[in-house]
Amino acid sequence: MSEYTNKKYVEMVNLAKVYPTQKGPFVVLENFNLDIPKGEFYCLIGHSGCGKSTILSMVAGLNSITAGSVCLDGKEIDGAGPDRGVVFQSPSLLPWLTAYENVMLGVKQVYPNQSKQTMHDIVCYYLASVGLFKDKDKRVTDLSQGMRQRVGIARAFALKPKLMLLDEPLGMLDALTKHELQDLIAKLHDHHAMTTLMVTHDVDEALYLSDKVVCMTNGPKATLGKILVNDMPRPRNRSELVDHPKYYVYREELITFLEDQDHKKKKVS
Amino acid sequence: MFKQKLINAFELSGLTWFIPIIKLLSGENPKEQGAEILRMLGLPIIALSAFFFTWGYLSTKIQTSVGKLPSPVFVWNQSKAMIANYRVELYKKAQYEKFEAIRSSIAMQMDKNVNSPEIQSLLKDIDGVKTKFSDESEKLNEQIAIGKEAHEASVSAVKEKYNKPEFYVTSDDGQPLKDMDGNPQLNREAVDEINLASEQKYMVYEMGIVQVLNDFSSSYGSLASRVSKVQKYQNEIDELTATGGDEKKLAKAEKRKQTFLKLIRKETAYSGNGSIIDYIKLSIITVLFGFAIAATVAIPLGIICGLSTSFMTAINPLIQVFRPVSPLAWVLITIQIVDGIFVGDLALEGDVFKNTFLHAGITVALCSMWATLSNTALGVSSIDTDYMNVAKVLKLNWFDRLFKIIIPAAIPFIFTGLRITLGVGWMVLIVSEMMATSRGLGWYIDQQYQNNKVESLANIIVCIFIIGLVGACLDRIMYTLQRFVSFNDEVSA
Ligand SMILES: Nc1ncnc2c1ncn2[C@@H]1O[C@H](COP(=O)(O)OP(=O)(O)OP(=O)(O)O)[C@@H](O)[C@H]1O
Ligand SMILES: [Mg+2]
Repeated sequence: MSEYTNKKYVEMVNLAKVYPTQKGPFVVLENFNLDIPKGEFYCLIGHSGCGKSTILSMVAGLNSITAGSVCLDGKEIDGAGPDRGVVFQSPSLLPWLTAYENVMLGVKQVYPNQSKQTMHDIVCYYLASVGLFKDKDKRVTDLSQGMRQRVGIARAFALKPKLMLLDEPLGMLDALTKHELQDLIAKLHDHHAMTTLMVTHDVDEALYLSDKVVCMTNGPKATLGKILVNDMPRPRNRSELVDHPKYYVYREELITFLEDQDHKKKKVS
Repeated sequence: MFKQKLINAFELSGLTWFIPIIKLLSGENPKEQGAEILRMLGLPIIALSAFFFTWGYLSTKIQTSVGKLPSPVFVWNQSKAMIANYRVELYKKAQYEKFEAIRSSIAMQMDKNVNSPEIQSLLKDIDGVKTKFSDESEKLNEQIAIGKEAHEASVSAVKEKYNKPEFYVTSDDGQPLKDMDGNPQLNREAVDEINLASEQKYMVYEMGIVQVLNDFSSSYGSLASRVSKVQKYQNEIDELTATGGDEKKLAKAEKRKQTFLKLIRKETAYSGNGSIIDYIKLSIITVLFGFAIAATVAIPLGIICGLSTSFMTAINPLIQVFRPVSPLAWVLITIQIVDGIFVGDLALEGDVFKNTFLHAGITVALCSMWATLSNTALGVSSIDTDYMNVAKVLKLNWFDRLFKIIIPAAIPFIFTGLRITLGVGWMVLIVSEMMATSRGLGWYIDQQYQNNKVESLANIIVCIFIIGLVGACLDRIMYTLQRFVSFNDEVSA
């Protein structure tokens, strides 16, 4: 694989999104350019409604692209596909299936020529890696929120996607579960070196997980604000991280950026 | 553990009033459970008693075209009489089968040798059965006589009570009018009360059994006499052949023998009057048949409607026009179409599967399928975008998308529709059975209505309770299924 495609494993060029509304076209996003190198973890932060989910769903192929293009591994994307795993804020599991069956549904699609035993092993491996092996035969409705989100993560990772898209996956969870799942995501990322784009509201979460934090300006006509390079060493440990000298510098930088956006917003209105 | 399972089962089926009883039986917090039982059982009991009390009171006041409105007690006795008739019917069926067994074994033996010892022993069996029958009916007749005496005593007590001047009909000059026998003519209230008393059923089961015993006793008698006839002609034939007798006489004897043999060989037809249980059974089978048709038509159509807005737009006017059409209109056109197709040799003559059965069943389907159709369409078209996103990300093909995502997601809606369909179908069934003369509860009610008697009115009231109970049971079953397939617990009871 060439150096070029590795550096621009994911390439968003002049991405734009316009929603036609009754009051005329509503430009959510304009001129958004971002490259993600292979194996890196990018976090996307910005104020509510600026278009983070819109970007993510366009990259996932679940939302149409108004202008610009998204390339993954040198190929322009066209519609959704299992080469991009997605985890949303709500786990969007199929409630009439068990945890096992939910993961199996994807595995069957991605490894169509494998034997039954191999597919079973894959499903069990990923469920075990999110700590749900014992509960694999429970119906989704009998699982807690945190467990459901774990199944969602297992399902996404079991697809072995080229790119992992996470849209506030931990937004609805309590603090304790949130920490557990952050550790889980970090562990999985370290293990599989999965290229990841994750939307979050939580600055600490972004600093704990990411290689780079992408800040967006406020909408409408939102675009890329700044990119913070988070070069704190990996693997990270939550309690040690807080003591890292750069932690507060980076944290300060992000919060200042967000507050600045707030002021601008007030000025506009 | 077992207790928890029971409680879960009751919760699933919505029979929540059993739960405190189980908890109480297992000794859990007796005071609280006792109060809960009082509330859950006591309140309905109070309401029921109020209902029966009002009914009892109204029955003394309300005058129907056939007499006084039957009281709860009268209706209760009538329902017992229905059950007695059913038991008689069962007894009759059993006797019929025994009779047929004996007749066919005689016929078999006769084909080999008309004078065999086996036949003699079978004839002896028949004699035994007949004496047993006459013993039994004698005993029953004694009981019936006692019952009849009591009945007549109560009737004459009522007659006595109303044979007073205040119940006489008087002419304009105050003179009591006389009827044809020269007795004073009674007013309407008195006549109704006396009729009510004399129409009160008694000894229904015993009388029915005696009737059956008499019928079969004579059947056995004629069977035995046919056998002896055959034997007689056989002996004649034997004699004639031995002595080399007249050809003509021989042929005549042979012919007569064959006539009686044929009668013995012929299977006798079972002539049942039908009983309330048969009507209930047929009604349930018919409604399930109609329900099955409705489901097989409405679910696929509903799925197509939900998938394609064009298709929905196309057939929506038809749905809107046909949905409000009354079953009375549907049943007539169904009768004519079905009878046009299954006519002459094609006419259906199964035990259950008759033309009339199709009339009622198809009408049920026509009237009840709409709820399933629109609910299925709604379920399919309103599918959660999250589920569709899963399908898109996994690039499921059309088939998997339909059967692994869309239909499972719509299942709760489909079952809501099916539950409504079954409820509507059961209501429609009674009317269509009346019109189609399919021998279910609806037909029976119509028959009773034609009878024009207080007794028949009571039978109709019994049927109303049966219809309600069966309908409630069907709904409970559907409710349980609905709870079972839904993935969120929001199901209205
Ligand atoms: N279907 C639509 N039609 C019109 N406008 C829409 C539509 N979907 C989203 N928007 C608008 O697009 C903007 C961006 O929405 P988006 O969901 O991407 O925000 P977000 O950054 O993810 O916010 P949050 O952090 O709250 O999730 C919002 O202002 C929203 O109102
Ligand atoms: Mg969002």
